Amino acid sequence: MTDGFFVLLTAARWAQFLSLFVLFGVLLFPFYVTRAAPAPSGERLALKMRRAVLIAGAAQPLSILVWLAASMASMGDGWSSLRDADFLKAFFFEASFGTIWLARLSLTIVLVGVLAAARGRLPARNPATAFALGLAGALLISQAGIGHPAGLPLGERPIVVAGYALHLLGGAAWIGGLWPLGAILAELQKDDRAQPYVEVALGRFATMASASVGLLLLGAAINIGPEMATLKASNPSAWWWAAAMKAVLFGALIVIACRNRFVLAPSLAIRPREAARDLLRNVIVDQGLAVVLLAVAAFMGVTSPTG
Amino acid sequence: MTARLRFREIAPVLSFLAMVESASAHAHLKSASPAPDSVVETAPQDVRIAFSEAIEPSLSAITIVGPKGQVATAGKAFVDRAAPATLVVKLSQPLPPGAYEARWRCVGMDSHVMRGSYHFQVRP
Ligand SMILES: [Cu+2]
Repeated sequence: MTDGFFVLLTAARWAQFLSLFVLFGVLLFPFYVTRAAPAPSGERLALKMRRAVLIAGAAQPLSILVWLAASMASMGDGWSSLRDADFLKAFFFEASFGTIWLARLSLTIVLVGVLAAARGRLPARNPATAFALGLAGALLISQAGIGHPAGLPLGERPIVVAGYALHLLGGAAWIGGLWPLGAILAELQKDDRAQPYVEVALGRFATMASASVGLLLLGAAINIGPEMATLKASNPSAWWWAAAMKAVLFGALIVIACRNRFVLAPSLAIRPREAARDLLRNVIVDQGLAVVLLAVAAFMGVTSPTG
Repeated sequence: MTARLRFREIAPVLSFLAMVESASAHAHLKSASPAPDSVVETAPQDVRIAFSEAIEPSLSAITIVGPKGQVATAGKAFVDRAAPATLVVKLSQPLPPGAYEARWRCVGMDSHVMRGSYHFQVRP
């Protein structure tokens, strides 16, 4: 694979991860923070969340198309392969991952349709949001069919795909949830009256995030197994360096999350202004770390553990 | 006591992990016939490359280029029925003596592409 395609594939995978994580996290939010925000804040927050859905909802189809095009061009004879009918037939109808790509494209079309049709009612506790959430989840899980898990022998694939699904859905619920969380903490800076709502939301987020991190770790434990055999302690590949970096970033996210959960959130009742400001700053730092972590994950998706 | 119990519980998991091997790496060339940098006495009928992982035959290819730059392969490469990781390409005619280059491209089931080439000689 040439460097150009490698960079493009990594960038497209990263944008796909990030947009689906944000969509998943934002759409899931009203299902665990069931209390509504008080009057002026509620309107502003709804507007912000709709904007997040709009941006992520536009980035998702764009990045999937770039990913598909770069993947096809890298497999064939460059960009001209995209106009080669024989190549397209081989890619979509003869290769084992062709069906997965067709399914992912169909899911994307339906997702774009739902987001456009229900744009005024998203995100909220309604069927349209639940449906869009399901589609985003399916798009995340189906990445297993066009990545390393698909290369495993048939007998081992189901458990690895299950681990992959847990890892991605747990990660998306937690990481993606940082965006609505940041929005409500920013709202608290503007309007003190939102405080009871913010306290409830923080508590619910903490419960959801703990469960999600549990699933994420379970998924990682299942999936690191197949890679373990490729680790050469004396000379780790770029993939292993990336895995180590991902673990460090994850550790940093967890440290900050624990500080938020056990130090700052309880002090919200005692010194609301400072605690809210520190919480917001930490959530923004977490978002930044998560964006880098997803870039590392995207790199790992196109790199071979054996180097 | 508790530790022993724990180990017994996780033993199936460990044996599973051990079984899975390095299966999720990119596919790469394991062996080939004619072999890389080899000199063969009898002209081969086909060129076979064994990869480390199962591959997508419809998107993988082998091209044999002769001493004057002419292509010596006939038709598309296909997978050996008995070995899903071995790509085979028929030669249009037994190769005349000379130096040849085998250029290969393999697409793994994980969607990753690897390319490479190697040389071999047919001796008169
Ligand atoms: Cu690979």
